[in-house]
Amino acid sequence: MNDDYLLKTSHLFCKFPSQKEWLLKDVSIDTKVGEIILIKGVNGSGKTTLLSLLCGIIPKEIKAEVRGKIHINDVEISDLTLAQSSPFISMTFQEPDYQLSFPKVIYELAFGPENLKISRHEIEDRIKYVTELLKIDHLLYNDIATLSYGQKKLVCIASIMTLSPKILLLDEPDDGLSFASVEQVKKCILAYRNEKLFIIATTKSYFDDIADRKITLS
Amino acid sequence: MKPLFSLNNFSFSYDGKASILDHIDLDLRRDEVVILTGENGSGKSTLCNILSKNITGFRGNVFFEEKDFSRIAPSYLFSKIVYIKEQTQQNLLGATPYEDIAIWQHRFIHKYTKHLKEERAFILKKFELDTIADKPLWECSAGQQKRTVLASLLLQSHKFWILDEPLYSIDEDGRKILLSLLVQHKTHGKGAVIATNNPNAFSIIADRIIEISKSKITILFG
Repeated sequence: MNDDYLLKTSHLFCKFPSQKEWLLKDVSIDTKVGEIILIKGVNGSGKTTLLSLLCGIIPKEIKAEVRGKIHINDVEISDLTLAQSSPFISMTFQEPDYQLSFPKVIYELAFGPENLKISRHEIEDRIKYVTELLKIDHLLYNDIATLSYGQKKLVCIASIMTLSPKILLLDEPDDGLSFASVEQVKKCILAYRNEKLFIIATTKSYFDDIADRKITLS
Repeated sequence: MKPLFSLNNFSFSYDGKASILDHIDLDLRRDEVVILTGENGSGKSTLCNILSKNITGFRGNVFFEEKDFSRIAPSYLFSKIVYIKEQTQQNLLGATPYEDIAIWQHRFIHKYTKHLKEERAFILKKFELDTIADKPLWECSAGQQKRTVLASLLLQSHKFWILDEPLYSIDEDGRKILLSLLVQHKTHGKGAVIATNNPNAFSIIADRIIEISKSKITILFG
């Protein structure tokens, strides 16, 4: 893969085993690093499904009938295992409790980059930078179980930032966040804007002003 | 009117050191809609949890209907209030939206009525769940699950509502439905406490907006 990182889906269809009709019908997206894309749509329109498809969780972990192709540059995402693709394209879940798996915040944030054999020094730098941007640096040694929903949500966003994939998929990042925290998340996104591609699924309008494009699912 | 909840000189801390709430006084009337707001981690959910007896061990006095809160039986408390938690799945009972509503109906029914089916259909339609009524909840999206949770409020209009972040994952249509429900609730003389990061979403029905900040409460409005 070269540095441009073009993400392209062509004529993507998806439906779950229990469904008769396609949930996603003919979705074609063509985008590249440097963009911030919003995925909009009403409850149940398939926002989360689309993000799960892009990072490969569907159909690798969650079974579904899928047609169409997803390419990052010239590599098809279905040819990679999740372990191979997640350093390049990764997702935060809507429900923070599904994502967080360590007792302390700092372990959670270090886990992703540690697995990529990033140097200790670099990991510390990343954690410091991101937690200061999101204003959760005072929580680093707290037990995750004692955090509020919104704080857990911020930890999830921080953990994908420390993993630092080229393409970041954020599922309802604004849920549970106060206005001040949403502003910090936006600041964090803008800090990485030039080097990364953000795809944000949301029903709310907090990210409208920083987005380059909106894709509405119906 | 006498307050439903009354907190006097109330303090709470999880670890005995850092106070989440420090010497606060707060009365909640049974007919008013109070919005609780504040930064992430300020203690909105903690307060909701205390009011619904999920968390105990506070200092100070709490009264419910002018009786000592610690002597109120949970079964009595929950005949008077309903608590919707922010984690959607902790509120779900059934396997499908249809079943979830059916469970609520049977749990809180006082006498048998043959209108249960119509009532159920009405509730599902109100939250636009009729097309997915038989879809397993684990296959529903987060927003659809949240709608199912909120739909159960229609069966509990006689109670005081404690709603913790009811707008998570909910789209604009869903917000309007909830708002219309709250307006109806209020016109029937019933109240609610709503913990939210987005007080503006409820400003038209708010009697009071209270901010929790640095373990103190401030009345922003009302």
